[in-house]
Parts: sequence; C-alpha cells; structure tokens
Amino acid sequence: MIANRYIGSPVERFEDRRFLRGKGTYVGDLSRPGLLYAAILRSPRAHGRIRSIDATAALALRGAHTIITAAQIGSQVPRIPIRLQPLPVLVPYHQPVIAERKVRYVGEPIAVVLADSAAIAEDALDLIRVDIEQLPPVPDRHAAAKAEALLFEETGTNLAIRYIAAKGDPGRVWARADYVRRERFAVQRHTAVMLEPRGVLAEWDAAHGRLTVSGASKVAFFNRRILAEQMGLAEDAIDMVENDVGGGFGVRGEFYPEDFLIPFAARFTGRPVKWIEDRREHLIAANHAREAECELKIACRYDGTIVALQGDVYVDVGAYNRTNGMVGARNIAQFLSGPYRIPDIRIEASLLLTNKTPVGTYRGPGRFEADFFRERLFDIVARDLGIDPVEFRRRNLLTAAEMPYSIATITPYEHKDAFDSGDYRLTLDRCLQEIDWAEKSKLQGKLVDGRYQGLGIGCFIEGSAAGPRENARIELESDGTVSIFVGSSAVGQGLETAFAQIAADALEIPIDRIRGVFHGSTAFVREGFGSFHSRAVVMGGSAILLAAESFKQAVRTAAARQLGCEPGAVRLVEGRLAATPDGKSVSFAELAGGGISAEESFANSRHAYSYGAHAAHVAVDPRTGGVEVVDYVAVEDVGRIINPMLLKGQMVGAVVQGLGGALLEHLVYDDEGQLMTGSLADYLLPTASDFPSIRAVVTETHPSPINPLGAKGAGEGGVVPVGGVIANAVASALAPLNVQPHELPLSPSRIWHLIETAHEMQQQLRE
Amino acid sequence: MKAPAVDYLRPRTLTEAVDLLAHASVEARVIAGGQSLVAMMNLRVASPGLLIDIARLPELHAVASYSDAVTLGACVTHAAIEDRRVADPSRGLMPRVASTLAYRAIRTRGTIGGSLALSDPAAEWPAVLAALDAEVVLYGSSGRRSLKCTEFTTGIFQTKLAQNEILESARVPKLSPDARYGYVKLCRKSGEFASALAVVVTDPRRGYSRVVSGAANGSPLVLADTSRLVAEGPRDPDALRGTISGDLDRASDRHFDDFQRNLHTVAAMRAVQQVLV
Ligand SMILES: Cc1cc2nc3c(=O)[nH]c(=O)nc-3n(C[C@H](O)[C@H](O)[C@H](O)COP(=O)(O)OP(=O)(O)OC[C@H]3O[C@@H](n4cnc5c(N)ncnc54)[C@H](O)[C@@H]3O)c2cc1C
Repeated sequence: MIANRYIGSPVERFEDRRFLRGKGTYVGDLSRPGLLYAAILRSPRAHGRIRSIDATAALALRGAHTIITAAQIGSQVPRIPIRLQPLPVLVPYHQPVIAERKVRYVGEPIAVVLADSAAIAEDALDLIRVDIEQLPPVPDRHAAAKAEALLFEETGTNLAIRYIAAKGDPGRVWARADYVRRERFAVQRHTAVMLEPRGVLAEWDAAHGRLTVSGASKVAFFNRRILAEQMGLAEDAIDMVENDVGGGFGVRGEFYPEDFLIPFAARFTGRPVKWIEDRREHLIAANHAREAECELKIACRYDGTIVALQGDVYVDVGAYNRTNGMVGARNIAQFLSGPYRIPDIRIEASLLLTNKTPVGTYRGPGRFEADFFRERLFDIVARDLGIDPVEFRRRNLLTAAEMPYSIATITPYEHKDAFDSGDYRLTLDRCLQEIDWAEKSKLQGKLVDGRYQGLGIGCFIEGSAAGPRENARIELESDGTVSIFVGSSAVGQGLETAFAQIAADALEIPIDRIRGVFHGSTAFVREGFGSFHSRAVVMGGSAILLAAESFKQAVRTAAARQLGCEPGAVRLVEGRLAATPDGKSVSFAELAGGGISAEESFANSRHAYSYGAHAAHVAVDPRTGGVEVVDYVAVEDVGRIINPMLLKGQMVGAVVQGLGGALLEHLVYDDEGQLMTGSLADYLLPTASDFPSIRAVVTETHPSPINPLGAKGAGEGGVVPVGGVIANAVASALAPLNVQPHELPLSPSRIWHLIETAHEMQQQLRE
Repeated sequence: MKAPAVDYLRPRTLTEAVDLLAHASVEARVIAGGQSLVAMMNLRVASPGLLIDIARLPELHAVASYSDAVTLGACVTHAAIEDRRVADPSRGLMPRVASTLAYRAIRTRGTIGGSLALSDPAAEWPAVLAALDAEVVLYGSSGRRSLKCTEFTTGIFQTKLAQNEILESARVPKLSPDARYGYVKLCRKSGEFASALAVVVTDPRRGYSRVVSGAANGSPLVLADTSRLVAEGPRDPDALRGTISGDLDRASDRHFDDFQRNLHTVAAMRAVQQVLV
C-alpha cells in the first residue's frame, strides 16, 4: 500500500490560482495573426428542402471573405459517426456536417461565413438568402410514430432503434401478483448550459500538412480520429489542444458539425479560423437531452417486495443520432431498476426522430429520467400498499451480501453489467439522519404560513469508469520535479488537483514536487480516452498509480547504477533524493539527465457504481404553485474519496443542475418545430440565490474492487435523483390535496393546475 | 450575438441630445443604461443607425425634493434608488422595488427612465410609478410636457414618447407619514421578470388609494374597484377577492389565461394584505 498523505484531504484546487487571477485561457481568449472569424447560418425552419442559397450580397460586404456551403465541401458531405455503441441500423441517421438537400431542425448549419470580425460575419449572415421549401414538421414523438411525415424518406420510419433491457421473465408474474400498478411519467427536454459556450480555433500549416485544433475537450483522441478521416489526413497530422473550459457536463466536447466545419474552413482559406458559440446558438446547436416518457407497470408482494418491472419508454432524440445520442435512452432502460433488487425486468425504449435539435448525453444521462420515473412510482406504490416510503425502499435496496449484482442486459449490443460493491441501505440511513427525517416528517402535508410542507426521498446509482483504457506518463524534469501526462480531459472538475494528489501519494513525494498535470491534448500521451461516464479519476487516476510504480522502479534502477548497488536497496527520499542504506545518495535532478520516464495503461472492462440517497424538504405555495427548497441533503458513497472538497463541489453543483431540471429548465417547442425558449430570459437557469441550502455528505465504506484506487465516479451522481426527490417532496406536501405529479418540470403553472384538477375531481366525487 | 455596426455620439447637454435625435438622417435611439437596448441590438431585434448616449448628462441625473414631490432624473439607476443614494418620495417602497428588479449587475447600469421609456409589460417601474400617481416629464424639440404615468404607457412596449423626445425625469408625489403600501412580485427565480406584479398605495391624508397590476399583458392595469375598496380598509377576504376578480374580468382585452388570472389575484390579495396589517 502506498503511503498516504494527500488522498482524502481537501487540497485546494491548483487550477484556482490561475482562474482567480484571471489567468485562465479559454479558446475565446486565443488569437492568431490573420485570424478569420466564423459565423454559422442556421436553418430557420424545422423541416424543409433547400432550393437555393444566394450569398452574393453577403460576399460583397466589406470584410466578408468566404462562404462555405455543402457545395464547397465536395461531392461527399462527411457524416458524424456515433462514438458510443455504434450500430449499422443507425448509420442513415448520422448527421451531415452541413445541411445538403434537407434541413431537419431549426439550428442546423447551412453555411459558414468567414470574415474579419465576428460582427461582420454576423452582418453577412443576414445578407445570405436561403430559399427553403417547407415540409411538414414532425414536432413530437407522437407525430414521429404516426410517420405521416418522415425525416429520412429512404428508411421509411421515424423510429431509429428500439433497445430492450431484460432480466428474468416478467411475463409470468402479472397474472398471480399480489399487487400491480401502472403509471405514466414524462421528463421534459432540457440540457446543460455551460457558463462558457463551445468554441473552436483551427490552424492549417500548409507547408507541413498539419492541422492544430484548439478548443478540444472531453474526448480529443476520438474526435481526432473522426476529423482525420473526414479531412483525409493522418491522425498524427492533427494536434487537438485542450484549453481551460467553463463547464462540460457531457455536452461540450462531443464531435459536432462545427468540429469539422472550422478546421475545414482553415484549410480552405489557408488562414486560422475561430468560431465561438453564442448563447442563443448554444440553445439550438448543442446537444439537447432528457425528453422521455414512459408507461410502466410494477408488481409487488403485499409486504412491498418488488417482483417485476415492465414497460415502454419513448425518447425524442431530435433530428439525427449524434455521437452519443442513444445513451440516454439505453440508460433509462438499463437503469430503471436503480439500486434496487428487481428479479424480473423488461423495458423497451424506442428512439423517435423529430424535427428538433438532436440529443446527446447530459450529466447523468438517462439516469435522471429513470430515477424520476422510478422514485415517483415507488412513492405511489408505497402509499397504495400502506407502507412507509422509506421502509419500502429499505426493503428493496441491495445489500453488500448480494454483490456483485447483475442488472438487466441491454440489446442490441448484448451489454451485460453488474454492480461492483456497496451496501445501498447505508447511504439511505445516513441521508435520513442528516436531514432529520424522523422529526421533519411530522411536517408532511402541514400548512405553515400558508405553504404546505413536504419531504421527499430518492435513491440512486451512478455508473462510472468506462473502458477500455486510460494512459498516463510520468517524467522526471531537469530540476528534479516530475510532470504528469494523462489522457483524461478537464471539464472543470479539478482534475489537476485530484491527479496531483494521487500522483504525490503514489510517488511518495511532496505535492509541490509535481510541476504540472498535463491532460486532454493529443500531444501528451500516445492514446487517451478522455472524460465521460465519470471516468477521469477512476481510469486516469488508476493509470497514474501504475505509471508511478514504473516510474519509481526506473528511478531506483538509474540510481542503483550510479550508486553501485541493487535497485531494491535504493530508498526514495521526499521526491528529491535516491539513497542507499549506507548513506550515499544522488538527487532527482542529477538523475534527470538520463531521461527518466514511465508510461502505463490501465485497462478495465467493468464499471464501478457509486450510490447514494437524497432528501429534500420543500414548501409549496398552493395559490401560486411556487416551490421553495427549504433543505436538501445529498449523500453519496464513492468508494474512495480523493478530495472531499472537490467531491462536495461536484455534488452541490450537480444538485443545482438537477433542481433546474426539476423546477425551471425547459426547451419548449411549438408545433412548427420552433424553439420557444431560445434565450436565458425564457430558458430559466438556476442560480445560487434560488437554491441556497444544499448539503453534501460523502462516504467511502465500500471501495470498488475493480480498480487499484478503489474509487468510483463522482461527477454525475448528484444530478441523478433530484427530479424524483423534488417531485416526491411536492407530492408529500400536497398529499392533503391529493396531488400526484407525473411530469417535470414542476413549474408553478403545472402545480397550480394539478391542484385545481384534484380539487375539481374531489368536488365531483362529493356531488 | 454581435450588434450590427452603429454610429455613436455622446452629446454634452440635453438640448444637444434632442437636436441630434430630431435631425438624424438614420434611425436614432438614445441609450441610457443599455441593459435592454444592447441586448436587443445583440439579438438583432433592434438595429438603430445612431446611438445617442445620454447616460452621463448631468440634467438627467438631477434629483430635486419639493414639498409635495421628488423629481428623479431619467438616468438615475435602479441601484442608486435601491441604495437610497437619492431622495425617496415613497418612504421605502421604491428602494424595496429596486432591490427585486433584475440582478445587481444590471441595476448598477439600468435606469428608471430607460425602464419607463421601454415600458416592458413585465417591468416594475411603469407599474410602481403608476401606483404612486407619478408623472413623467418629456423634453423634445417643441419643449417640455408632462404626462401621468397611467397615460404615458399605452401598451406592450408602447408609450406616448414622440420620436424626437427624451424622457427627462419622473415626478413622484411624496407619501405622507400615514401612507401605507404593499408590493408583491411573483416570479420563478430571483432576478427574473415578473409573472405577476401588484402594487398598492394608500395615503388617507391625501385621500389617495390605488391598486395596480403589472405584468398584465399590456400597460399597468389600475384595479379601480379594488382601489376604492382599499380606501375603506376591507376586512373580508372573500369580498376583496371578488372585487379583484371583477376588476380583472373587466380587463378582458388582456386575455389572461386561468393561471395568470389566478396569479394576478393572488398578487393583488397579498399586496392589499400588506397594507391592512
Ligand atoms: C437579465 C436582465 C433582467 C432584467 N430584469 C428586469 C426586471 O426584473 N424588471 C425590470 O423592470 N427590468 C428588468 N430588466 C431591464 C432593466 O431594468 C433595464 O435596465 C431597463 O428596462 C432599461 O433601462 P436602461 O437604462 O438600461 O435602458 P436602455 O437599454 O439604454 O434603453 C432602453 C430603451 O429605452 C430608450 N430610452 C432609454 N432612456 C431613455 C430616455 N431617458 N428617454 C427616452 N428613451 C429612453 C432607449 O432608446 C431604448 O429604446 C432586466 C434586464 C436584463 C438584461
């Protein structure tokens, strides 16, 4: 076991030194001589055929240089392949990097304008005349299923694919079950709105045939592979450069049309080209997420033991299947059972194409939706059965003795998976204790100062540690310090700090002997896999552990040679000296001349599952429908805590995002496929002053057995249960009025209407 | 989101500003705090050819206190009102309102005159100043004129401001020590525009009472019967609710849906209750 000085302690973020001094460098901060700015003409129509594009007036504008449309790109407009779980049946739905003959959503790129400034580029956009023949739009999943209008005539359907998550055989259960309940739930379309929108700066070096792309993030190596193929370049002719980022949340860093268009424009013009997404653009161009409905049926014994879960899920995936556009739907299907013991499961998830912005992953993809469905359903069931909702959960939560526990298998893809370790009741109990459930639950349904008080609870799991590998390299610098290079990428989570802690402990050196942690860019390691699926710390951190062992071995071997002893006899002292037992020593700086470096790869094909429970106390104003979150507690067990401060920051931030999804955020479309909430005046984002009381509690009772750190992912879990918890709390508050929310967001108007409807129904009953 | 190219001038006096406005050959607009106008330009829903910056004109920062009223220059910021850096005719109502308006960053630049001139239907000042029975002073090529706020705003983003006029100041009557007021802003998150606003001012010594609904799909809506009822100090909530409903029903041109109607009723009820306490 390694000596432990840093892992587990709240080391302050190294990143903050530059951020707080205004020294962070974002892609928007970069400039180059001869830079051209790009602006993108986006379809104003949801569905149509492009008749003509006339750029004459735009090109005549002073300062406008070039306009790129499908015609300039060539006979074959490249399409963007799927990164996660590609399948041949999905190929027809891959997005072209620019609209060719058809447009399929408002916001789809039609042309790229290059100009001397961003403002001129936008002036030129206004002058491009596009003639689009309007086609009947497919505004929602019902229209998609009817298939009167098709997004892709050639396939004859708007159903992209259907996933099945199966375990056991629920079919045999229904007829003889004690209790069966059917419910229908829905989650609204919303997405990540990072503080810093996306951006790309591309530079083409014609002399050497090299391309440099700044603004890379998340999965730089994968994106380089796509880009190399689309541009006909060798992969190693492209450098992807990661910069500081203002948030990722799954949305930043996937391969979008702009990730081709801007590099292409740089090569086309021979000049550096920069594009920075603006806020309005972000809301129509970046991945959307979460729009899903389900019809579920659950069977239980009278004592509350769950016997089976079955149902259909309908996911509106928008106009194309983007790089990870299926993940949300497949996750809903596979993780609908959450942290619970359910022997028989069959969930079918249909992915329906509509004329809306395509979807992708957003923090806790599919799990946020699934948790809302399930935790809401459980409260309804517990109430029916006359069982306390907490007791109902405890009875069905998985225990340590059941690990590893196999969950539903997802097909196509035949993906089998199992939970790795944990006792899921522990986090539930801790959560109840932290919020003082016993005392507060007495308030449920009471009117206090005109507002109904409610308590809600929900449990969750968070998947993490996607394979296949991650790579890390450690190098001895000439001054005797060490540098860490890793294939993981930073999306604002404090990666440099967490990795420095892991490396310092593994190398047995003071943390200030680490010169830097270099990550994300393709130049740093041979191959990297990036940051998604809460994998950075688990995978990158484990790779660093392995590299550290090799590195220490290399130092000992080099020192042994100089000191004339066996490598095994060399002791490393405080990251400065390599010493023999008889007191001879050589400094790290002296050894550096020999060039000491170690690179290792950590491979993993299993997933590590963190888990936890959240509880909320809300006050609901029945007259306005307004919800105040009075108290919120989030508990998560992450196997091994690297840095509790970073971890709690991730959790609180994720809870706030979840509260946005539960109460505020909604990408509303009209029947024509026009986005009605296209600015932050209408798309309501939560701020710190809206949700001031959120507490995070972290535990590490069950390390993951599948990686040497024992760590489990921690970036996403905090968002997962929030919708269900808040909806349960609102239901608990409004129990006297007999209100059961089935849909998010719980906007004031929705809650008010629920109260009105329940009231009318009660009056009808009385009459 | 870059604004189209625009010419920019910063005159030294109000008269000069009005001259520029009257004689511009392109679409000219004054810019005060820019907190609405710049956003509109960036979204390209406004594209004036000339901006006339009035934010630093001393005339528009003048604040004068008279025996019965205070005049506030148009370019007094929301933050100056919130921080009580200027005379307050309203015995605390205006600072309280200012503190609920947008975010602090916006309040440091946004101005009371800009807000009135724009007359966003969901904005606070048009409703609050209507409830306070304030007047606006407009200055144009043909001189000065005054209008009651209740007449100045005519609809959604619509006012009686002429193309060559600048809103110079607002004249707000002083509340007497006996006056009471109520203010309720219902919105979905902090700093957001209101879903419903209600302002109640009653000043028995001046024989004055008025209830105004804001964010009411049009200009601030004076609830006439409710205003009269408030003067009597109603004690029966059902009667009060009925009167508010009656007032809202009469405003059929506002096309409230059920939920909006409910919100306006709740806001007005609560604002009135603040007065009665
Ligand atoms: C995020 C955000 C949230 C906001 N929330 C709220 C809110 O909750 N409540 C609220 O009331 N407001 C809100 N606002 C608007 C804010 O209060 C603005 O400051 C105000 O509406 C306009 O004032 P301004 O000085 O910035 O005017 P500008 O933006 O400079 O001008 C607005 C318009 O008025 C005209 N104009 C300005 N001054 C004069 C004058 N003296 N004479 C004639 N015409 C003039 C301009 O030509 C322009 O047409 C918000 C704004 C933002 C950006």
